[in-house]
Amino acid sequence: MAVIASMGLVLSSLSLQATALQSKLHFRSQVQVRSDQDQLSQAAQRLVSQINLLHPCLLNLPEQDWALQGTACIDANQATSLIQGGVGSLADVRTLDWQPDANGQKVMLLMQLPKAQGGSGRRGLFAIQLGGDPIRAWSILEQGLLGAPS
Amino acid sequence: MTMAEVTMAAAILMGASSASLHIWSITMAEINSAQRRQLALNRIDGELIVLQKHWQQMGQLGPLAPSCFEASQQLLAKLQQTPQGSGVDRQLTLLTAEDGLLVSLRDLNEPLARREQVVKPGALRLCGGA
Repeated sequence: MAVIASMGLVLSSLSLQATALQSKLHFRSQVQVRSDQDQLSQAAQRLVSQINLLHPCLLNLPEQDWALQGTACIDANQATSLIQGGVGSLADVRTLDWQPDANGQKVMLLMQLPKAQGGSGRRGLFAIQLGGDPIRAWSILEQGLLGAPS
Repeated sequence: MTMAEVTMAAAILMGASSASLHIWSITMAEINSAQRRQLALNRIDGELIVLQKHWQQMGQLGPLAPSCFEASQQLLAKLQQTPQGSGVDRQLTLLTAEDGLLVSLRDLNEPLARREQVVKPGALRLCGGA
């Protein structure tokens, strides 16, 4: 009887401790998520700044057409560098998608952190508002964080 | 039940209660610090949202200066005027290798609760004559 009661006491304490450990792991994963959000957001700011200042013809052009644009405001190599990241301040964050809407007022941007070398491969979705004359991006809002594609 | 059996049972129960109490006290301390850590994360997130709203609103108003360096300086001055939450260390600094600001937020009691974002005036139509 005493042994059963003792085991019950110890097991209930251990189960409570497991819950506490789980909350510690949850906190660490929240810290990692925020760090990924920050990296993606920094990359989005840098990408949009480059496009606004140096390659505004891309603002209303889907990403799959960037390398084809050629002459207007960017050459094919520069366009590839912008998409693949890894050049200077874009630091290996890939541009997966840049999709302007039909009205030319908004762009959905999808970026991905590297998966190699312990990176999470998480993706960040951003809504970019366009406006003014000449047209430029003026707002970047994070829409959400997505896990790495399997 | 003999006296020896009763003594043995009491000893087992005492040992288990003492171990259990020890685990409980460690666990309760851990739960308290988990709550503190969560509050620290929320505080930092709240501080970042306030700053983000400011720089997004500025983008809506149009260019601050033709030069992105100058726009970064003006952006810095404006963000420095926003009230700062208590318990948070807020560092707003001009980037050295490029135009823009580095926004670093850190909870004073929980070193892991921190955010670090970059604001580029060029991305918000605040410079470049756009």
